[in-house]
Amino acid sequence: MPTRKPSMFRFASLKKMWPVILTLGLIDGASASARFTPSDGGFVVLEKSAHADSGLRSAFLSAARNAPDAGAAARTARELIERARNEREPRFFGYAEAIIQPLLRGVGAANPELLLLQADIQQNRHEFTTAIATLDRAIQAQPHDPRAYLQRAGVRLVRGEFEAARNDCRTLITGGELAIGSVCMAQAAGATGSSERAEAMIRALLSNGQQFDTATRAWAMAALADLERRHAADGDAETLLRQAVEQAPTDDSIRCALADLLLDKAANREVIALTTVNRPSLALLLRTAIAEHRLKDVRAAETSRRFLELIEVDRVRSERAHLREEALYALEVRGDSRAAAVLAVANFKLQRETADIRLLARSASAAGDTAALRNLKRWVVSTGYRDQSIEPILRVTTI
Amino acid sequence: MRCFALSFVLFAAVFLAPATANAHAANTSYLQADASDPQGEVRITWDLNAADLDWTVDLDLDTDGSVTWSEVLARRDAIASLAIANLIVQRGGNSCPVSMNDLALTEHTDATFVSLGLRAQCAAGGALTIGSKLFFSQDASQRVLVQAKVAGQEFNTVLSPQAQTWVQPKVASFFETFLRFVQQGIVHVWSGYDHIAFVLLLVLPSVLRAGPKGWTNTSSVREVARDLLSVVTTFTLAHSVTLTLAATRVVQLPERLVEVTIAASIVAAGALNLRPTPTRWRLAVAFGFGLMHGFGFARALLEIEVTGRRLLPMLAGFNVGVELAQLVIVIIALPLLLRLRTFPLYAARLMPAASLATAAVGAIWMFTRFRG
Repeated sequence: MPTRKPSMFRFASLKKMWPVILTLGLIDGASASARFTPSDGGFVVLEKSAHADSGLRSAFLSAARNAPDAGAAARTARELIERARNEREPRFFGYAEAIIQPLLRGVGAANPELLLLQADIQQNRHEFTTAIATLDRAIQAQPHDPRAYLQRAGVRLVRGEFEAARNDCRTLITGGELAIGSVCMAQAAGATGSSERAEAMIRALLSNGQQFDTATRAWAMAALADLERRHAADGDAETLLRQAVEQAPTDDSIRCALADLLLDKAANREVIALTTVNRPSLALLLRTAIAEHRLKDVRAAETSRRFLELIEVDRVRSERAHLREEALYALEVRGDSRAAAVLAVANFKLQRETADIRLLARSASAAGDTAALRNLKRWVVSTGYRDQSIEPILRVTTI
Repeated sequence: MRCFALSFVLFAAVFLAPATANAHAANTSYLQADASDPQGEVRITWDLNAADLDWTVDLDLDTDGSVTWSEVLARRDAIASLAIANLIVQRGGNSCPVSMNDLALTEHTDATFVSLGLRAQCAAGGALTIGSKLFFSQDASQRVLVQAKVAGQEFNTVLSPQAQTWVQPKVASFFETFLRFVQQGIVHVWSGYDHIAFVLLLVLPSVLRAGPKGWTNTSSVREVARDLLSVVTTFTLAHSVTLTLAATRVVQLPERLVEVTIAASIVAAGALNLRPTPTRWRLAVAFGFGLMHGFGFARALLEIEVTGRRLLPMLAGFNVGVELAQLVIVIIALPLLLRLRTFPLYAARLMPAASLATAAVGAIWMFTRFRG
């Protein structure tokens, strides 16, 4: 069981305290969610990790209140974003953006450092086309920064723009970043071409003792697992993903990829164990909900409620960044393949990772949406995209 | 490129595969405002995420790494000042002084929130305004989800750094709403070719008489008028009943069923005109399928976006609009039909042919609506 780094904030579990609080506390009947006043002053409202960095907070506050120079702002923002990822504290993306936004409006509008950070924040919000535009500007301002090409390649891959992604990966390689560039190219080229060669390349890099840090290693393993799963039904994708999760325990994307693999194998109990973490992302919560629903677990209703609450907040905020999850929920939990197909089609317009393409194929097939299947097949044919799991569905689709 | 290598490995960890399954922040606070007190007081509950609050106010006084309830209470004044300094409540454009009554805890989306009970002392009356800038300067994704109860209506809105204020919209009067929906009713009928087609098919034989040898022209204008009136009234009666039942959600039918049946009504009405049929058959069709048309109208009515739903003027207005639109169609059609009946071919060829063609279109609609 991998040990998790304690996050900066951890909320005390209220679940155990409910009976005590309800009987002793004050509940304001007028408000929608029950308000309560703990009878015990020692009741923990918020838990911060022992490594809570007050230095970061003061740096942030001084940057937010005064007019910082681009360098200081970039440093603070970068640290916040890192914390956001490593400690599963996504609110820090908003804090980071608040520092760099004013600078990007003014004189420093073309500061490549800040633009890279801005693009990262945008891509995290699933604003992929905006992120690419920001990265274009960053590259224009600083054409020799490999980070910009790597990031742009990544976003282009999510968008299914394989040709463009390959160009960026090529730039990385010719610029001297051989290791990272190779994994990048393997991902981009392997999507539509000789997957075997791509897989072999990543394997070689991983076993070579390349100086990958743990996060990069995890990324490479997950990329390899993805290629394997698309190339052949069997393989050591599962082993790879398990290792990747161990290397990057707070990367929910990798965790979800493993969860999806296990769900396909109907290893539902394991999915629950894997996805039950402290303050799970919406995507993780969904996989928990699916597994619990399949097992008719008593917690299924509550998990669904939590998931739907997050979706609802998204919707009210006009940020429907989780169409994939909404579609999967409709398909797997509600059994509504028609709704799932509609959502999957809308999702496909925004992002085209393996999970999105498989989701579209499955839900459109289940709903009998021949128009959607035909469009998918046309896209697959034109890009040369390969995924063995959707081939049976596409084979019976005529375009 | 090499000069970037040092920080590159660090960056690779950060900038890798966009990770579409990672958490994306919902930095949100929840504000409920109740302005239904006739004395003018606005009661507000504002739930702030404990983490956001701690980041701004620093609640961990003993720096032991956790924030307890007593520590929150100890910072009560700072919390109150923060909220009051960043909240605007107005009625009729006049600012209301805000004070904090109490402090509690609550939960949203698996996180603990500090819940502030506030009171805004407003002089009664006037449009309610709620504005906030809390956390906006230090958090670009912060949003305030506002739920406001005022004048018997509930409004929901989202405040953001780009839209920091909400003003209660002026509520349309009964008459204004009524007129607006009369217009909507008219628009819906005139742009709804299926309704027009059905009505016209039903009235085409009004100028004819069903005889043993086929349709013959009737010369009596009174007969024509009576036939027309009976058919249109029957249709109106039927669809008014179901429009009301469906708009009030007493009866609900699946959308596809309604749409397909409306298309089927055109086929039925067209078929009736191919052979001489007694008026009572046409009345039966007008009534039976008229019921379905009512469901179609109701769906259109419910789709119209409206703040502060007031059913009576909406329903009454829409119904009146539909009847007016229908009346105009009939008024235009009647003289044309009276003229047409003087042509010998009208009864024998023209009317059946037109009915058949329209029925065919109806059949196509049935097919496409069924396929979805």
